[in-house]
Amino acid sequence: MRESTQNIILKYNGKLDYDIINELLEDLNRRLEETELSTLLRKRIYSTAVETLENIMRHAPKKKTSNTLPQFSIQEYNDGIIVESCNVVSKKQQDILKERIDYINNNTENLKKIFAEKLKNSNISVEGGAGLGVFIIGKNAKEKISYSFENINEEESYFCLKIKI
Amino acid sequence: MDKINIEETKATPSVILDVDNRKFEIAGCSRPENVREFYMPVINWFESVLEKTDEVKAKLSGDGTVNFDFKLSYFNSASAKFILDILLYINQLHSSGIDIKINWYYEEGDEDMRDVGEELAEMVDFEFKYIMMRE
Repeated sequence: MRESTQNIILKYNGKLDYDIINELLEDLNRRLEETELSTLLRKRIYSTAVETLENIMRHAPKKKTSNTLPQFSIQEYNDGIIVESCNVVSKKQQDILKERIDYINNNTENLKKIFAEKLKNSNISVEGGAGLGVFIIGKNAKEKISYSFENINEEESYFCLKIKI
Repeated sequence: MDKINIEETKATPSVILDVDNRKFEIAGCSRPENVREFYMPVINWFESVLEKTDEVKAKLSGDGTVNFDFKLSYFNSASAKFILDILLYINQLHSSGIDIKINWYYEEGDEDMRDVGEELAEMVDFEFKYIMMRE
């Protein structure tokens, strides 16, 4: 049977900067308060939203050759919450993301330990991240993270991420 | 002594580091736009305090254990790095003979916040007291 959407918690299609992310997260908090979801689930949704949105903002290609805008949604299904995002990434970023997500998907049992190691040895990059966001997303996810890259041109791909919480 | 008193916003926590009033607390949500810029004054405060631990010890002694309260509702992955650094500094203060303990608050039902507290405690080799907050 196909999964049926019960409830759209948040849906956004457009450019992302820090102020827009703040507004989206405030909206999200309001919407989550209206739901019957447990505190733990609400916190995991919020955390996944923050890390996903911040990653999109930080890793937006400096020189964009395409005009495709980011997409972000959180939807409630019968069997869980699905956070989905799509955004343009550089080919270089594509390789890093692919490697990182595959690594997380292959180590779902040990993520706590790996996260602790990464945290101890991490540095905050110029973009302001520590490369830890995807690990948090992995910890929040209840299934493997699914993703896809669609070729835009020689420089860029359209990256889509689907996380079930 | 120099103190830190940062007010809480929707995306940044309140930070109180006040030796004279024996109050040490980080509370709220932590996902600053520029995490390094936000936490740098806090890191600098610890660096300067660790240079004069005798003075700090004298001010804090004789009135029981000093509590350092973490009342974070949420912190993002970039903030985690700085929270770990702060915990390491607290551990250094403890090692220098200051009777300080860490209270790690979490909301009822937020087991992840408690778990991450336990992970951090293990990483810095310092025992926390866990306190559940009911709504």
